[in-house]
This record gives sequence, structure tokens and C-alpha cells, in this order.
Amino acid sequence: MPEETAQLEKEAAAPEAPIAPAAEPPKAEEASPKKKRKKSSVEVAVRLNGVTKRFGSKTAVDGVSFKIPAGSVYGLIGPNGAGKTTTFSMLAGFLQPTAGALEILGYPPSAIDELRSRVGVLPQDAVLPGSDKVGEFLVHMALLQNTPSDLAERMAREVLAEVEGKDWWDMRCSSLSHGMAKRVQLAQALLGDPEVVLLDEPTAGLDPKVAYEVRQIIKSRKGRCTLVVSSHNLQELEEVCDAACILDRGRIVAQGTIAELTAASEEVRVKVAPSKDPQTGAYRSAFALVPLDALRAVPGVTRVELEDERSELIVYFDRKNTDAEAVISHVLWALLNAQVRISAVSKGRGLEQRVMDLT
Amino acid sequence: MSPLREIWIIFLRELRRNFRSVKGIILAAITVLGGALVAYGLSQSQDVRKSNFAKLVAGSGKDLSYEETTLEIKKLFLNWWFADPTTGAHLAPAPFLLLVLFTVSLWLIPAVVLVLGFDSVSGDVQHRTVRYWALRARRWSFVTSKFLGLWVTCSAVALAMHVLIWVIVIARGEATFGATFAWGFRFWIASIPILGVWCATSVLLSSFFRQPILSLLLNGGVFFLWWLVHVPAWVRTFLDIPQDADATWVPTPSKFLFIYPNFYDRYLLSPQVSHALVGLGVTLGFAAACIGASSFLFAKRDL
Repeated sequence: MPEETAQLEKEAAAPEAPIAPAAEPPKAEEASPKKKRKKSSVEVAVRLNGVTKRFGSKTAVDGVSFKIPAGSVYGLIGPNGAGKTTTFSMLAGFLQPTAGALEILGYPPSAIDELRSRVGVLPQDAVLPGSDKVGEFLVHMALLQNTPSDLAERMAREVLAEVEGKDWWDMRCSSLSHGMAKRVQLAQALLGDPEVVLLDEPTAGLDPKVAYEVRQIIKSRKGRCTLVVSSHNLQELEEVCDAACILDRGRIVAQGTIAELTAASEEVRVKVAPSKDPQTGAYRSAFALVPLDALRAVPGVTRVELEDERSELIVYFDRKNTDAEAVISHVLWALLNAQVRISAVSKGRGLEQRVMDLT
Repeated sequence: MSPLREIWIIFLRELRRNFRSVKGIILAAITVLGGALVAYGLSQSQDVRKSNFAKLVAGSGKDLSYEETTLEIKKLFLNWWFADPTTGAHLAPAPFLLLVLFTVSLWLIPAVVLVLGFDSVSGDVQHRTVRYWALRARRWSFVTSKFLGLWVTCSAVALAMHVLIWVIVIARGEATFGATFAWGFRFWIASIPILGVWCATSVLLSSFFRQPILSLLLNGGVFFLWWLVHVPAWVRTFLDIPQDADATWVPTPSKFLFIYPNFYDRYLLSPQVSHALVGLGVTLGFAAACIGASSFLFAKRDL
């Protein structure tokens, strides 16, 4: 595992292709309003190159580099103080990097004219303007996205309906509950079907039902745009993300697809339970009946390990020769034949475990 | 989208927000009621003056007209007050109530701006509300819109105060509708560039802080300091009357008076175009410099 981490760290720190200077104007045809309204043809939606942010003597983000392919769902993962929100805030143009370069759809976040209708942002702790009514706030935002006046209200009503808040049109933002406010915030981020949507802790502080609904809204956008989600909720990220990077103390400690991060395509974990000896009636070790030789003989399996602490059997395999599903079938067959009691089966170690290992 | 359209959209929202806010409504009501009170007091004192004048004239046996006499007195007073005989003579025929209200409104303006403007930027930064605009508006256009919103709101409050006095002047028959409107409108217009200076200063100071309370304290402190610096200069200029001075004596303004925005009223009301342009240039130039500095600071800061 340490070698793997080191490798991932190396990938994270690897210098990327130089990013065009912020001041360099994009091609004229890309900058024209008509082009801007079309879906982007860029392959990389978000690019960070050696981004550093310091607050006085404290370095919150330290040389972070990654690329997010257009159309994917990308997670920013890490414990408190890891630099997720700072990275997110630089992407959204709230904070300016101390060093390094950021690009969204080929432009620096300060390129308002090029990005205003193409990027939606859900900030984590930004309070909605209390005196505004929900409808007028969304219409105002739509107008600033260069939406014609006659379409702005329709667009605002549509997006409000999408977050199931169509009855809130005339409510003041100050009178919304936390869950309602979060959905209005999400609505403003989704206004105008942006190409890139940045979501910072989209379900933080929500009750399970509302959090589920918000997750469904995010999932419904999957494939329609590039989503960047920063969250503590690792199950949520594992569920919705294609790829992610794990940050710790301002640095990337691992990045890759979710399958790579969880090693889902390289290992199978089987949790086994202790079983009773039919003759003595005493409980045997969970691993007592595990047929190690049979497991090692499964095609593609390279190694088998037993993890006492979690009562887990870890079967590593070569993903070039086989896949997780085939390995699971063979392993379960061998275990059932040996009358091993099985509690759970998983591909890889789960994002949560991975993050715990790395941070 | 052009920056002008961006400014227009945010400006309209600012207006809506200012006129709807509780403090905006209360302040407007207090200002208008305060103006009405001052107007009532002044009109009562005018009645007393008229009556005393009539008694004096009757006692002296001379045939003096109240209007002609007060016009001469007003000329002398305004020569002294504006430190300029041309402006004094030019403004003397204006209804007295309108002139006094103009001066009173200039005194009230900083308080109105302070209360309405201290959180114009810091209020949105405090709870990060401004982040919703971060990828939708240029930072300088955001600041400019805030300034314009505040300026127009304060100008509207001032107009309400002026209109109230117009009504009183017309109702009391002190001037015709035409004269009242012509002078009144001119006084209100002259107060707008001065308002601009106060508003721009408030927006600049508001963009220094994340906490509106700090912005309020700094705004109040700077406004008060401004006033405090100007008072001794005013006293030295206007009350240090030479012993050989006669009734036509005109003071020479101390240079310290030129740092106080309200001092430019005499330029803005001057019948000489060059003077009016100097007043306009200084006040609007100062406001533009403040908004430029505010935009620069706001563009450089983290939200």
C-alpha cells in the first residue's frame, strides 16, 4: 500500500502541460456569445497546475495539480483542513491562488464574460440574500448570466421546479429552512444548464431525506455536465463520482478513478464470521475454515491475505487477466464449499477506508 | 454582456433592496419627518419675523417693504455665507425656506449615507453572499452598482425632503409654483454631486471590512473627523471678522475648508459656469477616485 500511495502522490505532483497565461485571449470564435451558449468542445473541463494558496504563514493548499475530463463527476475528498474548500474557492474565483494556475473550460476563473453562463457554483456557506424573494433572486442571477429578460423567469421557474421548490417563488430567502435554502442555492448553480457545476458540500447539514433528494438531483445532472463535488460524505462521493482526488494538509495524497482509489478492480474483500465447531460447540477462528490453497488457485489471483483486525479475507488479482466479478464468483464458490460463514463481500476497500488509510 | 448592462442589472436590484429594507424605510421616514419639522419651525419663525418687522416699521414711520428689506439682508447674509458676492446676489431671490432646507439637507446627508451605506459591501462579504455574484459579474461593476444604488437611494430620500418643503412654500404662498420648483429643483440637483462624495467614501470604507460593525465605526469615525477638521477652518474663515469690516465684508476661505465635501455647495450653486464646473469636477472626480480605489481593493481581496 505505501508503494501505491507513493505512486499516486508522484502522479499528483507530476508537472502538467503548461497552462496558457490568464491574460492570453481565447480564440475569437470561442469567445463569441453564440459559441459560448453551445456545449464546450474542450476535453479538459478543469485544470489545476501547481496551485498554492497561503494565508499569511499558513499554507492551505500546496502545489495541487489535477485535470478533470469534460463530462465526468469529480470529487474533492479530505478531512477538515485538508484544503478542499480552499481549492474549490479558487476554482470558483472566490480566492486567488498565491501561485500556480487554474483553468475552467480553458479560461481562468476571473474571465467572467467567458464563464458567466457556463459555470454554476454552489458555495458551502454563502448565505442567500435575505431580503430577496426566491423568484427575484433566481431571475436576477439568470439575467446576469446573459439570459434574455423574457426567458429569465421561465428558466428560473424551471430550475426551481427541478429542485422541487416551485412553491417557494414568492418566499423571502430569509424565511427558508436550511434544506430549502440549500435547494435554492443548488437551483442557482444549475441555472441555464451550465457546462461545469462546482458543488461544495452539497448535502452538508441536511436531513437524510433532503440529502437523498439533493443527491438524486446531482445524479440527474450526471452526463449533462462536468460536476466537481467537494464533500465529507464519502459514500455519497463513491456513489456519484467517476474520479476523485484525496487531499490532506493541502497536498494531494492520491488521485484517480474511484475504482483505482478503492482498488475495486484489483482486490476483493470478503468478511468472514467465526463458526461453531459442531463437535465441541466452541467458536472457531473466522479464518479456520478458509481454503487458502483453493483461493490461490483461482485464475488471475495473485495473492491472498487475511486481516485479523477486520476478519477480512483479501484476494488480490491481476485485472489484465480477469475481473472482479469472476474472482468473486470463484472465491465465494470455494468458501461456501469449505462451509465458511460469509458476512459481506466488497470490491476494493471502500473509499472511506482508503481515505482513513491515507489521511 | 457589456459591463454597463451588468451594472444596470445589479443597480436595479440594489435600488429594490434599499427601498425595501427596514432601515431604508425607517430612515426615509425619519428624514422626511425631520425635514418637515425643520420646515414647520422655519415657517413659524418667518411669521414672527414678519410680525416684528411690521411693528418696527409702524413705530419708525418709514415706508419699507418686507420683501425688499429681507432681500437686501439675504444678499448680505449670503455674500458672507457663501464667501462670494456673485453667488450671494444670485441666490438672494430664492425662497428662504428652500435655502435653509438645502443647507440642512447637506448636514443630514452624511447621517443618511452612513446608515444606508456602511454595509453596502461588507454586508454582502460578511456572510459570503457576494459569492453568488463572483462568476456572474465583474468585481468593479459590482462595486460601481453598489455605489450607484446607494447614491440614487440617498438622492431620492433628499428629494422627498425637498419636495415636502416645496409643498409648504407653495401652500404658504411664499413663492409661486414655478419659482419654487425652479429653485427647489436646482438646490436638489446641486446636492447630488455632494451626496456622491459621501456615498463613494462610504462604499470605499465598507469594502475594507468583512464585519459591517467595523465598517460602521470606520465610516462614522471618518465622517466625524472630516467634519471636525472643517469646523475650526469654518470658524476661522467666517467668524474671525476684521474690526474694520463693514456689512459687505466677504471672508476668504481657509484651504482646509476645501477638503470638506459640503463646502462645494457654493461652487455648484454659482451662476458662473466655470465655478459650477469646478464644483462638479472636484466632487464627481473624488467620487470616481473612491470607487476606483474600492474596485481595486475589492478585485484584489478574497471573498
